[in-house]
Amino acid sequence: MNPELCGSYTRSVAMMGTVFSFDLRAPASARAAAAQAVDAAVGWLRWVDNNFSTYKENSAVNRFDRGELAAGDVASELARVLALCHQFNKESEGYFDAWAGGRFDPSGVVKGWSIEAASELLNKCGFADHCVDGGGDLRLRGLARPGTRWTVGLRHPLQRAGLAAALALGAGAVATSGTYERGTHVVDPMTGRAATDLAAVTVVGPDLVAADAYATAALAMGARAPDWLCGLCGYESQVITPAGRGWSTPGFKRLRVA
Amino acid sequence: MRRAVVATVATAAGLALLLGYKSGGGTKAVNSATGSSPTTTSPSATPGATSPPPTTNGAGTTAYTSQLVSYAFGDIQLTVDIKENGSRSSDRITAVTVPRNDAFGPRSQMIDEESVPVLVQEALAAQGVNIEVVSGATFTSDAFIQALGQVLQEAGK
Repeated sequence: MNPELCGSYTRSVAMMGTVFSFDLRAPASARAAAAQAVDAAVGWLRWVDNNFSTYKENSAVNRFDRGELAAGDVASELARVLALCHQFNKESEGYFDAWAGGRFDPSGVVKGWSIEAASELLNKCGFADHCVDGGGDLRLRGLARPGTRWTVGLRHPLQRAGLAAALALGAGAVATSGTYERGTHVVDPMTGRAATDLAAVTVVGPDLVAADAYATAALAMGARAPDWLCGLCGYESQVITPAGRGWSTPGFKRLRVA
Repeated sequence: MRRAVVATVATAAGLALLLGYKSGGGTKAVNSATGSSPTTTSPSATPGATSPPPTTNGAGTTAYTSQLVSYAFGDIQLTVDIKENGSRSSDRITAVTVPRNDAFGPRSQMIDEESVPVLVQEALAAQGVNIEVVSGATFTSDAFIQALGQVLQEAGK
């Protein structure tokens, strides 16, 4: 089908210390409704930022951390985030730990969880074909055009303006963690040494919270990452070393268009 | 509490269980240099260091390189490409790269399956591959922001 027959409504908004981009595929006649749906999604993400930021004095997360909110008193959203923190701590063999910094900081699951909910909101508003990009972590739904899946580039960790792969994806999530652009030091908790084995890990699968948690845990695991990533059910991944060598799961190779 | 944790991390990084995160911070992360957290690890330019001179290419783009900026775990240096369009207000940053990040440490060769090809978007477009969205790690760091600010000051932007 001629892509001109199918319109696209896009918007970018700075939130949560990064840039979110929305891309809704719908006919031009649905433009006003698409803008309303994105307004709702942005409102939700701002609410999450206000309640879950560790940098805002009276956010629910900080009040919980200070003991001003008991686990039984917290809003259902915070209870859900707590459950996710426990779940992915277990699944990542402890590499993912919301309490490791000496205080409760669930940021590692909040972004993926809030993007998942934003995507579901857009879907409920009638926009079944869309992409939500939260600072390079993606949640895709439906198709880019009738009969055509989304084409997703994976930024190359070592080459400016280059991509390490192009994937054709339907509904699902893509998360990339890298040491190539980081503000934090990465240490393998098992050895105490800097985790510099890997430059980037990309994980593709049904859920963005899981994909993000797996990618970050794998980055810290370093050389152990391929074995561990191979054992994940329903998630495909690619790993790139600082020397520009790569490894990917067999399923990941099948997603590639280039 | 956070101040104490961060200070401990700065002096004894190896003892802490740290895990780097891209934007938004993360679990098991002690963000060494985010603006919002009080910290003893604020980045500083290396004393006596000077920035390399800017280089200009034929397309009106100038690459400015910062001094080395030290932070808790090493030194970082940025190069910012600025395309000059005649007036300062219309100049545009076209690329930010990190030519030097000493915190990277020795490189390991543990996974050695295949070289990862570099795909350039223009080449993909020529093959009929139209990239709709890109996944990648994002940069959030005070050291990064300071180096960027320094470059922009030098460039007079």
